[in-house]
Amino acid sequence: MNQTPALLYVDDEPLNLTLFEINFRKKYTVRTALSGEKGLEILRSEPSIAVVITDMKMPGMNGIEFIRKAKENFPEIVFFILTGYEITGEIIQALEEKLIHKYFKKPFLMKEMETAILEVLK
Amino acid sequence: MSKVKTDIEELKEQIINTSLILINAFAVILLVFFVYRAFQTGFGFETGVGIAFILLCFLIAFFRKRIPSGLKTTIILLVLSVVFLYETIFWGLLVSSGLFLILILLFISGFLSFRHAFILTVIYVMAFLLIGYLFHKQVLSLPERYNAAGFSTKILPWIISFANLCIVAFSVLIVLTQYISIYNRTISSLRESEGKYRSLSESASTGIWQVNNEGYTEYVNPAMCRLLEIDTQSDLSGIHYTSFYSEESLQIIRQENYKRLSGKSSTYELVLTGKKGTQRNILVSASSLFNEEKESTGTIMSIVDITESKKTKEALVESEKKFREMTEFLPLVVFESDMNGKLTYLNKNGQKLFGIRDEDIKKGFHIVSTLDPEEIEKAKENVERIFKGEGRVGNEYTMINKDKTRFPVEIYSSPIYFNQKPAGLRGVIIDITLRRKTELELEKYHENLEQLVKDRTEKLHLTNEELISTNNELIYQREELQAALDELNNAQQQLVESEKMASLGILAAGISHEINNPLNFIQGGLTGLEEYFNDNLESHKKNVKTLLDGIQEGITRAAKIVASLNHFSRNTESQDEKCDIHSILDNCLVMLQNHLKYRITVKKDYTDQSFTLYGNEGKLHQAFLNILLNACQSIQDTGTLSIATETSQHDLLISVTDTGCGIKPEDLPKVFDPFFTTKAPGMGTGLGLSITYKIIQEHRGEIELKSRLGEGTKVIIKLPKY
Repeated sequence: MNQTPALLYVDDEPLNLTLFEINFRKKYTVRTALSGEKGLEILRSEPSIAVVITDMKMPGMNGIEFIRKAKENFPEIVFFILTGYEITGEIIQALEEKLIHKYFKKPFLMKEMETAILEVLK
Repeated sequence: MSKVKTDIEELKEQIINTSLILINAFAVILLVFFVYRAFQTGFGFETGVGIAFILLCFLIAFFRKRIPSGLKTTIILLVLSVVFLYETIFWGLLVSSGLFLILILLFISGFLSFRHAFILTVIYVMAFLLIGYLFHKQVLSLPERYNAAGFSTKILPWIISFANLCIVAFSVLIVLTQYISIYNRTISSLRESEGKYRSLSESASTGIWQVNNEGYTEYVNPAMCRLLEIDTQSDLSGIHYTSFYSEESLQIIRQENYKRLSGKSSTYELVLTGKKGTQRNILVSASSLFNEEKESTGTIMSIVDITESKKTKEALVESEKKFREMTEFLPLVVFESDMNGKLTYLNKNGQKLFGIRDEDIKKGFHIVSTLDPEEIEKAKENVERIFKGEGRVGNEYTMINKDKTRFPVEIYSSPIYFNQKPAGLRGVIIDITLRRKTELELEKYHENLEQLVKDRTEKLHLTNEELISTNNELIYQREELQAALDELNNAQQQLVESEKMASLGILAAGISHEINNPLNFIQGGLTGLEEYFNDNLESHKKNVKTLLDGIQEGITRAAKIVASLNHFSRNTESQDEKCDIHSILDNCLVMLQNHLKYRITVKKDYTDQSFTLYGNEGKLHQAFLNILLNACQSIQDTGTLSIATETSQHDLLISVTDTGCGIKPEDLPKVFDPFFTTKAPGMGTGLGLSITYKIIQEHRGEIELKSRLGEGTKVIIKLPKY
């Protein structure tokens, strides 16, 4: 029954991870990681993950760095950024490189994210 | 007088010629008589002489115009004498031959002097007496064939007497008539002449004075009366002419009278003392007067008053002397020459200079010979010009002195006119050797000075130019420095400002991140709660909805504020961000919410058209925030802030109008100046509008302020779409 699409959400705030899981677990299999490194590990261990949503500012790797590495091994995965910051040059560049599919701003809007994910998974 | 004399001569000639014709007429009669007698008494010696004599008479009459009148007179006298003597000797008293005597007398009285005529008359009368005596003594007698007693009955003596009578009578008649006519003519001519001379004399300005041999006045004309200071000639009666002259003058008169004995007239000067004692210098021309007998009858004098002219002449002589002396004293050469350039005068100085003497000048010395031969042509031209009246008075030449030394001169000359005709040249020659030398020296000094001045001026000029260029450079540098300083100041301020903004940006970004995360928790929580109520607590849902919505509103508003803050603090240099001016304006209003609330009514009149452009979003936020902030601050208590937007073909137009305090007209031009502020110190940097202005410029836009003090301000911004 593990047919529901798997999402990975990376954020250094555990509360964010918990709340995200609660809000999305109904429709998706949600995996969470507190850093980029952990995120990569999960991606390696769970190939079912199709969509990754990551924070931008994290200890160690930042969101873009993590995506860049992940994209090398898992080019078919669609990446989103969810950040408290306004859009930055780095993000714009990543968008242009098609490294990330879309950029979301905190506080997240459920509807917006759901729509975007659904669109990707079609 | 000569005319009268000629008349008399003519008359005499006429009488002689008439007499000759008469004689010939008589001779014709005589010839007839002789021929007749010859036939009666035979051709004798007597007849031959008679005929020869008659033929001679014809001859003379024929050639009468060629024969001198003296000879003719002699011949006539001879003929008359012969006829007279012959007839008297032959006929005695029987014929009136004595009548011829009258004829002879008539002749001789016309041609001989009275004395000679008298003697001759006596001779003839005596001859007649002698013949009569000889007849009385019967030495002479009528030829026997003539009978004296019966003579008066004969025709021949009567005829002869008749002839004699006729000749004499007609001769006398003719001569007398002629005499009378010539006399009349002479008299009238004399009268006319005398009248002429008298009127001439009466009106003449020259005095005329006739004195007889005794020294008394015969005639004096009015001019002379004036000189003698008398009224009329009668005033001179009994006055001897010598009483008008001094002894000195009389001596001269005596000498002159003596000279005049030869018959010539003489002219001399005297001093005449008038009757009233005025002394005059007079010029006397005296001539002796002679009667018919060439005897002196007196003296006639024409007298001219030369007192004035003598004075003038003396003054002239004095003046001439003065000028001559002055000329001689002059340290110049003074000369006069005739038209040919021959010197007529040269002063001593000139004579010394050219080594010539008065004798040389008299012999003829040409001034040209003192000139440098090369300059003779020039001199001629100049002299011609001087006579035309167009030449210069002074001309420079080179002359040669007696030592053959050449020296420069200046000749000043002017023409001499005599009777309105150019007669020569007069002038002075100035030796200008010294002057020339001085001039040359002066010129040299002048040149040196000029060169010196020129050099100095050039140096000064050069220095000046250097100074000017240095100065210009300095000015330029100063301006550059000033500009650089201004720029630096600006840059510093902007740097400070941008540094502030940058820090603010970083801060804002950090804060917004830190706020956004909790907001995200709340949002996440809220989302989860809503879900939970949906799934499990359907009945409670409507009870908590209001609460949940409140939470949602809080999240949204807080997120908006954080987002706005981020917009303002963004500090990028990119100019190609898509900027929606409406949202920028709204962001600004969000930021100014604190200022606006309950105080200012915001009226928005946004256009429906797309109101975006590409530029720097952060900076545009800054620009509009400044404008809106100023508008808010200008409103003291309550008021209205109107924001209107519209588009034109190429531009976006934004107008922000407030009902605030307005700007003073004198401040209006300064509002965009950096650091200009009307706010209290510390309350504003004065950079707000200057930065706004700069940002609008960076976006190729325009900003304009209209303000009325106490009524409000309107800011109009025009930004190009592309």
